[in-house]
Formats: sequence, structure tokens, C-alpha cells
Amino acid sequence: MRNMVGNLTNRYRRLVAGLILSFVVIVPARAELVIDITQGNIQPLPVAITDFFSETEAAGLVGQKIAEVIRADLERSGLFAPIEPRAFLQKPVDLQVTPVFSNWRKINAQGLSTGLVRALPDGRINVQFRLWDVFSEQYLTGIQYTSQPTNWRRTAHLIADQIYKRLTGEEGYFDTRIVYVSESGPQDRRIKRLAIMDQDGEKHQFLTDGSNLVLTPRFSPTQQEITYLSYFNNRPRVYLYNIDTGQQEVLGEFPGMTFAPRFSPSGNHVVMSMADNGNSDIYLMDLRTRSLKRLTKHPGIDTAPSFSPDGSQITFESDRGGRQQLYVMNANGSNAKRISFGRGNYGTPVWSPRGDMISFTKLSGGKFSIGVMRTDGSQERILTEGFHNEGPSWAPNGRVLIFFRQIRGDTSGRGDKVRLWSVDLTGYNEREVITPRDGSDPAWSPLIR
Amino acid sequence: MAKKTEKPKKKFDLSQISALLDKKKKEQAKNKSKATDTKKSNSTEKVRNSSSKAVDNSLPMSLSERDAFKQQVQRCWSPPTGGVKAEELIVRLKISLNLDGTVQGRPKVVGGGGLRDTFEKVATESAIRAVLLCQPYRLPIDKYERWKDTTLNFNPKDMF
Repeated sequence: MRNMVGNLTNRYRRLVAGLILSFVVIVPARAELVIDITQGNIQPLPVAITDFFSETEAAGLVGQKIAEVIRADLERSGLFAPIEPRAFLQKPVDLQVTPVFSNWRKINAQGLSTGLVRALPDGRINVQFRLWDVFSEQYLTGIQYTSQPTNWRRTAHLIADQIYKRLTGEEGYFDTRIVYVSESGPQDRRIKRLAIMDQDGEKHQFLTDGSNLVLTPRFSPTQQEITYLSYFNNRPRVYLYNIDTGQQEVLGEFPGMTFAPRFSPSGNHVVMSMADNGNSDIYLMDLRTRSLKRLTKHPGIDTAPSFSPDGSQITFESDRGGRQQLYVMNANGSNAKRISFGRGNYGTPVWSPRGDMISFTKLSGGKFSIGVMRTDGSQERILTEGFHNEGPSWAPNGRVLIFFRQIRGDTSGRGDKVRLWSVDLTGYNEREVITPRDGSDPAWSPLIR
Repeated sequence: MAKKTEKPKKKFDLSQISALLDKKKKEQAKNKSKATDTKKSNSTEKVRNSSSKAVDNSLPMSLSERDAFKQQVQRCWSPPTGGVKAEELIVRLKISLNLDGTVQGRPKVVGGGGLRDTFEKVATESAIRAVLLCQPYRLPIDKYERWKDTTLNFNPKDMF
């Protein structure tokens, strides 16, 4: 018994000693503080876009106009908040060396763009720009362009794209154009003309005279070329139109066609739907040989095909499941799978240029909305909803969509004005793109390059 | 035997509690001196024990103090949105703070992430901008040792 007690006491002592020892060893070092930042405060980035300085008055005016266009581009994107130039504490003339950053911090500018315009002896202008991070006091990027003075607007868009890219990590989309169908006249005698403008609505011009009805222009993803549908003697005819050269050719007459063909990512093929004995299916046309290959053969109506940017898949709409829904299949027509499962009808699917999403028009509960979903149909989100929204087309960076919207006209339920609108992927930044007349069927160009 | 040990526990005695508290103080002092001894003989322990000395001087940051710090940084953080896999752009910054809550020099990027591609670069810059923009931070001065070196993990996963 005594031995047992003795053993226990020894064990107890060892245990206590062990505990003290381990206590000494595990005394925590002064751990460095670690804080997890999990929620942000998403705000447009305040940027200061200063006028481009020039020693001559004429070039100085160009410098001011360039800065105005850059500010407008960045503001419209919803990601930037250009600061009112009257608040600036440093003049453009003093910004030709490293800026005094404290002056820009005072007005809360986080990005600062400075620049210079020089008139060259040959009549051209040289525009230089620099972008600075105000709080880190670091130079971020810079570039210079030399062009004819008349090209100043494009130079501004190119610089805005540089700022957008450097501060968001994504490609810009300001140096782009939009083709659409300009509409005028009464509903029963509507004149529809093909028109083109810069993405900000400037430099507007008509491409057709309105004698034939035009529909659904589509941009080539590789060049400034479009396809569109026009009714010639009441037969749908597809045209291929080069915007830079003005050259136009007939691609063919296609019975029962309601949407113009869309280009493949390489620009060498177009994919389209065509009716054969009243049944609409998807076809692929080689633009070099003009040969046609049938991709779907189904009793349902398959229409509105659009390629994935890697060219491996095609999304289209079909009523093969009983209602109009979205499908994805391999580019050779195999393995068609339905991807939309929500309530209502889905149409006009368009694959995003960056490949991660498909946009669509949805008709549900008497409303037409524009939405996006992942390419497997998951994460459906409605970006805008109303009386009539239709026909989304992606900006080349896959972050903004343009579509057309008709507002309800009167109590009879007829529509009134048809206008172009853009919306970004968040759904919050919705803007009207001003056109001289009504506009529908917009198509966003790739970057002009 | 068991009965004997249990008995005193049942009694509630204030003086004993204060004695216990004193004992804890004594034990801390004991540990401190033991740690100092170890310090002399072991260079690895040196760092740890010098830090534990700091523990004695200040209480840990309370949950609400940590949360207040977090809120101050979050207020200024506008991470890039809309990019492909924007939710996966985690940025880790190490910052050193002055007693007045201002940031010493530039925040340091920690870990493998950071500057591999344009998106990471922009995400990192947005985090650095947030840290610099929201300074000075309001933090308990008596706990300076606790927060003078801080690591901030910017993780936008829950935002998208």
C-alpha cells in the first residue's frame, strides 16, 4: 500500500513536473496579428485625368478634348469615378515631371493620368500619356501615339483602354464600334437601315439606304467585317460587308432564315440556322469554299447558334424539349445538352468572348429580360428585366453587354421607342447608348487594332 | 483520499481567489525567469522568449479590437470585380505600423500569390491601396506590441 502510494506520489510529481515543463515549452510566442479582410467596399476608383498639356494652343485644345473623351469612357464603364478637373491642385504644365503625389492624395485621387500633345512638323500629332498610382507613388504605365490630328478621338479611346487594362487587369473595350439597325417611320411601314458608330455613340453613320429591310448584323471576331440579313424580293439574303473597305458581297439566299449567321472565332466560317421542309436546323458554312455542313438534324426548331471562343462548342436555342430552351453541343454537332432549366422561354444565346458565360434573352411572366449563365447552365443571373429587352451582344472583354429595349407605349400593350442600352455583368451599371433614331439588333465589334 | 482533495473546492473564499491570482502572477514570473535561462543557452529559443516577454506587457487584442481593425481596412478595399475567377485572388500583405497607426514604408506581399499575372497584380495593388488609403488606424496604444507587425489576408471569396 505504502509502495503504491509512493509510486503514485512519484508519478504525480513526474506528471506535475512534466506539465510545468510543457507549460514552459508551449508558452506562445507573441504571435503576429493576422487579420482576415473578407468584405470590401466596392466603389468606382477615383481617378484624375488631367488635360494633355501642349505648348501650342491648337494642340492644347486637342489635349483637352482627348482628356474629356477618356473621362467619359472611364465614367461610363462604372468602374471609375473621374474627378472634376476644377478640383485639381497641380496644373498640366507642372505634371511633365513626377507629380506631387500629396496634392493628388488631398483630392482622394487613386489613379492619375498625365500627358502631352505635340504638333509635329509633318502635320501629325504625337500624344504621350503616363499613369501613376497616387498612394503607392508609383509609375504604372505609359504609351505614345502618333497620328493625324483628326484621329484624336481614337487616340483617346486607346488611352482609356490602357488605363482600364492597367487598373482592372482586364482588356478595355473603348476602341470599338457598334453596328445596329436604325429604325424610323410608322410601325406598318418601318424603315430599317444599317448604321455604325463608336461605342460611345459618336461618329455615327448609315451603311444602307433603307430601301431593303435589314436584320441582325453580326461582327466578325477578328476583323471589321459583318454579316447581316436583308430581304430582297421578300427572300432572306445574307450579306458579308467589310466596314473598312465598304465592299459587300452576297453570301447566299437562305429560306426560312430569321437570324444572320454568326462567325466562328477564326472568322473563316459562319454558323447559321436554315429551314429545310419547314424544319429549322443548324448549319456551318466555310466562307472560302461556301460549302455547307449540317450540324443538327432534329424535328424540333434549332436556331440562333453561337460559337464558344475556342471554337470547340456551339450554343443554340431549340424547342426540342417542348419549350424554347438553350443547348450546348460540340462544334461538329454531337453531344447536344440542354443547359437552361428555369421557368419561361430562353432565346438568342451568345457565348462570351472570354468563354466563361452565355448571355441570353428570357421571356418569363410576360417580361423580357437579359441574363447570363455559366456555360453549363449554372449560376443564372438576370441583369435587366422589363417590357421588352432583347438581343444581347458582348463587348470584346466579356464584361459589358449591349441590347435593345422597347418601353411600353400605351395601355393597349404596344411598344413605344426602341433604344440601345448597355449593362455590365453586375447588372447595376445600365446606360442608354444614344442614337439619332430608334435602334435595335446591336452588335459590338472586336477591338479595332 | 479523494474526499480530502475535493473538500476545499466546495468552499467559496474570496481571499483564496486573490491568492490564486497572485499565484498565477508568481507562476508567470517563474516562467519568465525560466525562459530567460533557456534564452542564454539556446539561440532558437531566443526569439520565442523575447516575444513571450512582450506577451507579459500587453493583453491580446480582443475580438472587438480585431474586428474594429478589420472594419477600418475593409472600408477602403475595393477589390477588382467581374474578372474571371475574381473570387480566387487572395492577397497576403505584411505591414509594420507606427504607434500613431500609420504604415511604415510599403506593405510587403507575402506568399506565392501576388504578381504572377495581370489579375493578381491588380488585386495586389488594390489591397496595397486599401492599406495606405485608410491609415492611420485607430488601435489600442497599450497593445502596440501586439499589432505593430500585422499580416492582412485579403480574401474576396465571400463577396462574389
